[in-house]
Amino acid sequence: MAEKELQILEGCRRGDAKAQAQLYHTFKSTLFAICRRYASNEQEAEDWLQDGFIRIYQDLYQYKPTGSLKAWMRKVTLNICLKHIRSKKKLFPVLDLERVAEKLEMPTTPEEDPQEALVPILQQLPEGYRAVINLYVIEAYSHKEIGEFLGITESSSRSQLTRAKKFMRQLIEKKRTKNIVK
Amino acid sequence: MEQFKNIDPLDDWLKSMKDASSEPASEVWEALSGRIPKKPSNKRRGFWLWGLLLIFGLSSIGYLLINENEKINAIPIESKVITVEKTNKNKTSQTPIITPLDPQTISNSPAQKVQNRNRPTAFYKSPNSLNSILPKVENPLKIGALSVDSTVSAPIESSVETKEILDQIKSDFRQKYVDNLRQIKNIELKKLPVYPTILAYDSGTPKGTHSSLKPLNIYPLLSVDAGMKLNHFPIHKLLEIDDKNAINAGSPIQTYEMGLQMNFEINSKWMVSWNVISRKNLHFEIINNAALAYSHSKMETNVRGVMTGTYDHDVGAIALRSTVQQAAGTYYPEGNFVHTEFKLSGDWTYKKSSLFVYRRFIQNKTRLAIKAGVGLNTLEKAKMRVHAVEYSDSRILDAHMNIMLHDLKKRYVDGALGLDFERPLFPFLSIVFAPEINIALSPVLKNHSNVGFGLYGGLRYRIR
Repeated sequence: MAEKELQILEGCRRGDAKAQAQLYHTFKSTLFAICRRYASNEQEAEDWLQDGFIRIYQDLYQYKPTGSLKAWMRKVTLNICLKHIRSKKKLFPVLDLERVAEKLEMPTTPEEDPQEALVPILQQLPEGYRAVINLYVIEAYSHKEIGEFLGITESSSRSQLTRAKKFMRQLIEKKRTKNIVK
Repeated sequence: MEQFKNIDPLDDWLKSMKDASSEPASEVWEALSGRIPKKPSNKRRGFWLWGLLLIFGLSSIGYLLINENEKINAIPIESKVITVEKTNKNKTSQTPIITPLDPQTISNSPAQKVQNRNRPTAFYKSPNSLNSILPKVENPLKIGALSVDSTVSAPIESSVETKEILDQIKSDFRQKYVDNLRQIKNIELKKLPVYPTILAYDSGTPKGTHSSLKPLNIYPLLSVDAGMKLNHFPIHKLLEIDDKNAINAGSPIQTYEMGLQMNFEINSKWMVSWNVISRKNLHFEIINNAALAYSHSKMETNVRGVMTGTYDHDVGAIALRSTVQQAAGTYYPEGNFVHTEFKLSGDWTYKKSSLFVYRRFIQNKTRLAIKAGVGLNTLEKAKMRVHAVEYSDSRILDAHMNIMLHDLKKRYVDGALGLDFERPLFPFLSIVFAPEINIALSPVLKNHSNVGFGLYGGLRYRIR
C-alpha cells in the first residue's frame, strides 16, 4: 500500500476530519463511477456513494492493509450497491422491452466520452438487468455468483443477461438514430 | 481459430467503464461529513461512561429518596394544644382539644405496641368529654386506624360565636389530621417490607380497636433492568459438504448480550418486560479435519468468493460446501484424496427486542419467577473468514478468504423459557440472575442445533 494511503488510513482511524476528507476526495471519482453504473439516476448514485463511504469509515478500523485500499473500497461500495438493488421489490419486471425502448426518452446532450455516453443508457435499464450486466461484463463474476448475489438461479442470470444486452442495444440504436436526425 | 471467437463490441465498450471515474456533486461531501461515524472505541467508552453515570444517577436518586423519608421521620409532630372556652351556662370548664396522632396521645399499651410494630397505626385516646366536638373523619388514605369513638354524643349548648369557633377548630383539626396522617404514612411506608403487597397484614390487633385494613397496594410498578447475558450454543452436528463428504462442526460458540429492560409489574404475581439488547458472538470458530477427495487443488490467496448455503443464525452452523470449494480451489468429488483442514471464524451482531411474561413467587426475601417470551432478532453486521490448508504428498497450500454472508438471515424470531431470581439489596434495588433456554423458532437447517443456554446477571431498579 502506498505511503500516502497509509497516512490517510491512519488519520481516519484516529478520527482526523482532515484525513477523512482526504480519503473522500481521493477516491470519490472512482467510487461514484461504480455507483452510477448500478443506480437508476444521479441522485440515487450520490445517495449510495454516501452510504458506501459511511460503511468504509465504519469498517476502516477493522481493515487490515494487506491489499490495495482502492480495491477494498471498491468492494465495499459494490456491496452497498448490491444491498440496495436486492432491497428492490422487483428486480426483473415483466416488460415488453421493445415497447419500453420506444417510449424511453434519451438524453439529448451529445457526450463525447463513450463511457459517459453509456451511463445514461445503463441507467435506463431495470434494476436487475443493470446489475447482471455490470456484474457479468464489467466485474467479471460468474453466473453462479451473480445468482447468489441477487437471489436468482444461474440459468436465470444467464437469460436475463441476454435480455438486458438486447434491451441495451435497442437503446443505443435509438440514441444513434436520434443523433443522426439531429 | 481466432475468427470463431465471439467478440461482442458492447462487452468491450462496457468493460472500458470499469476504471471510469466521475465527479459527484460537491453537496455529497457536505451531507456526508455530518454523517461520518465516530471511532468505535469511543462509542464503547461512551456507552460504559453513560451506563455508569446512569447507574450512579439512579442510585443517587434512590439514596436521596430514602434520606428524605428519614428526614420526615425526624420532623416532630406538632403537639399544639388548643383550648376553647365553652359558653355553657351550667358548667364552665376548660376542655382541652387535642390534636389526633399527637405523640403524647398515642397509646403505648402492650397490645398496641405489637400492633405498631406491624402496621402503620396510631390511636387517639379520646376522653368522653371530647366526643361531642371531635369530628368523625373518614380515613382518607386508608392507612393507619384512627380510633375515634363518635357514637357517644352529648348535646352542647353553645352560642353562635362558640359554634363558629368550634367550626374553625374542626376545620383546623381535619387539616392537621390529614397532614399528620400523611407524615405517618411516609414514615410507615419506609418500614414496610420490600414486597409490601405480598405479605398479608396480620398484626393480631385486638378486635374492635380499629377496622380491618387492606394491604397497601403499590402496584402497578415500573422497574428497569440493566445487565449482561452469556449464551452458549453447543454444536455437535455433522455438516454435509456434499453427498459423500461431511465435516464435524464440533466447536461450541458463545455469545454475549447487553442492554436495558423495562419491566411492568402488574401485581405481585405477574410482570411483563420489554427489552432492547445487542447480541454479539464472543467467538465463533469451526475447525475441521476432513479427508476430501480432490483430483487437484488450485489454492490461491485472495480468492474472490461468495458464501453460499443457509446460515443458521443462532447457532452459527453454515452449509460450507461452496466455501470449502472456493477457499480450497476447484473441488472434484472424485479423484485423489487430499487432506484438508479449514477453520471458519468471524463475528456477527444482532439487535434483539424481546417481550417476556413473568409469573412470580416469593421464597423468603428472594423472588423467583418463571418467564417465557419471544424475541425479534435483526442483523446488524456479520463478518466471516475462512482459512483452509491443504496437505498433499507434494505440497502444502494455505488460503484465507473473507466471506460475504449475503444469505445470512436478516431477521428471525426466537423463543425463550427461563427462571428469574431476584434478591433485594435495597428496597429499590435488586440483584437478578436468570438462567434461560433459547430456541430459534425460524426454520433452520436440519441436523443443526437451534437450542442455546444463557445466564443473565444484572441489577433491577424499582421506580416507586
